Amino acid sequence: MAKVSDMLTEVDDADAEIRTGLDRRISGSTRFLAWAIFAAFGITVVEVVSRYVFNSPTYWAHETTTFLIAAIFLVGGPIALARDKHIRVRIFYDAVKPPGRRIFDIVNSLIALVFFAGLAFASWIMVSKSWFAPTGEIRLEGTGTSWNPPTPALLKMLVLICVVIMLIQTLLHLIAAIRRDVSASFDAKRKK
Amino acid sequence: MGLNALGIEYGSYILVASIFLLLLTGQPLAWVTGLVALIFTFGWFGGMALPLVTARIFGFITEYSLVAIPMFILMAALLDRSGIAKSLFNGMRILAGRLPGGVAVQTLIVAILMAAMSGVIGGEIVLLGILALPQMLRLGYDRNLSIGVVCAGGSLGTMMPPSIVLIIYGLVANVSIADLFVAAITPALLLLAFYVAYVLFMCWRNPELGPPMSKEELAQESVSSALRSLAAPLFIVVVVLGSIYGGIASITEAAAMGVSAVLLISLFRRELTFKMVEDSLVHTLETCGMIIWIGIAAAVLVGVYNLMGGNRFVAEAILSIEAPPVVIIMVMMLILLVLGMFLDWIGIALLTLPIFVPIVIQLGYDPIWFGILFAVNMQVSYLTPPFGPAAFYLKSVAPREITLKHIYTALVPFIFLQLVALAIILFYPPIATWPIN
Repeated sequence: MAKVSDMLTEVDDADAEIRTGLDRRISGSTRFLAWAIFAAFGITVVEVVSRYVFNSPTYWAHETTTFLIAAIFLVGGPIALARDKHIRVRIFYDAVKPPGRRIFDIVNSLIALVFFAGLAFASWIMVSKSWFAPTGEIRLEGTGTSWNPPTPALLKMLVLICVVIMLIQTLLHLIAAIRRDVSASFDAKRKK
Repeated sequence: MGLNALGIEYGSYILVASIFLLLLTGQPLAWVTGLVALIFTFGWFGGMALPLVTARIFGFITEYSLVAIPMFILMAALLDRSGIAKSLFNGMRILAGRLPGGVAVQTLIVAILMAAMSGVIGGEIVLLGILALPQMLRLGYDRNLSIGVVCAGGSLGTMMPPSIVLIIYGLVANVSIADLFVAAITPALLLLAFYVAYVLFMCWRNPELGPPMSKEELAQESVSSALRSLAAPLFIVVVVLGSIYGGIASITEAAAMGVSAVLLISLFRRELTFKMVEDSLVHTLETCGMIIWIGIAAAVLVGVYNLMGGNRFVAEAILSIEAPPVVIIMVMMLILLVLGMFLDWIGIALLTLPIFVPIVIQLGYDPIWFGILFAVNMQVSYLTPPFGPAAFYLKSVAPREITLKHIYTALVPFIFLQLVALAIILFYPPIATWPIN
């Protein structure tokens, strides 16, 4: 049965296209980060068991799983970007020859840069509000429950970090696209 | 001068047009939607409003019900990587029998059972593409029929509970996900019945489309092995749906229970490996990154658009149509079908539903019923070119000589059957809503 599972992993990897060294590193970190999902799963099971078997619901499970999964959602952005997995309409992109595709890549990277730059700016405002009190000293925003973990502050910082990472990734994609020798890549594709 | 000088009508046109233009360049849907949202926030309300964007992002990702999505994706990924589906497919061989087109029927039955276990398509189509398609082609089945059965059957996962399409609908429309799950069962079975009837009819008219199996292969069948192969899937269905309908667990917790059930069964079957779990987790993380950022961007765009007064504008425009309410619903279906050709389901759900659902309720319709219509619409969108995910999933595992064009051609009759089902649910709502009223 190993065959089917290997084929599924192959399908996952088939359309993944890693373009830069940074993308390779980010993609490599996936195997480690993905275990946070397993942790969230484990905590949810603990919560159900302690509620029904031991009749004592936990006070921390709900907020912890929400935090872990929100973090996973956020890092999923750079990871999908690193592997070129974000859903896009490829009819025109696939129809043109490599030189045209390079133009598309350059234009798209420029547009995406505008997006990430704007988003980074907006995230920075959000982070500064949740990390600093109006007087200037550090004060992490909490969830406001009796447990009150500082997870909102951490997640807001993670929004900023992920957006900045995607900004850098896109910048590197732009450089790679500008430098790309389209005649060579065309021949290489043909040989395949 | 800001963009707000345009007024909401022209603002809306420019917003929609810029999304489509940007999409055509091959820019990811998530960035297109997000960028347009950002520009309109800035242009309409000024720089002071930008924190609204990030506030929406934070609100979206910390929604507890969304935790169910990675859980269901993980469950499906583990299920796909276990041997459960293969055993099920082999066990259900008894259904194929001497019937012309029997293996296609068998494939459809396996598809609906898999759909009842997991709410994610993709893996399911890939699996059927690996297990069922070669089997049918080897027996000399008609290529179009085989492809259609795999794609249409494999897409049933979005209708059969637990379906993540219905979970997202429940979240956006603010209706009970458990009710949606109950209402979806009959329409899902209706679709299945259509597919089975179509296969049997075609093969009855021309038995060469689906030749029966050889005697040796028939000899391998036994009722007891068929029943044994059903045990694991039924256990999983009972754990997940049982804990939802039994009121024991939230949707998220039920999904986690489902993950435990799959892990437990894999352990019993001696298939559980570290690599299998890790691969599944990696797959889950990537899929989440893909769909959640579309969700994030769509949530931001809708938030901004509603602040601009867009929801009121669209509601007034639609309600001012001098037509019976059912025509308005049909217009919405048409919009969904057209969008379904280009966009991903989660993008469509989060962009249109916040605007459509209040109108549906205002017209006096049941939002649960509309949710089922929405799910059938998304079924169609899985198959329609140029962006029919089902075709891409199958292409990734199909024999080389099968092209995307072959796949889309094969899907035409199945799309037609889906549209017939859509019409039936549209004109006869009790087919969906009878169990909840």
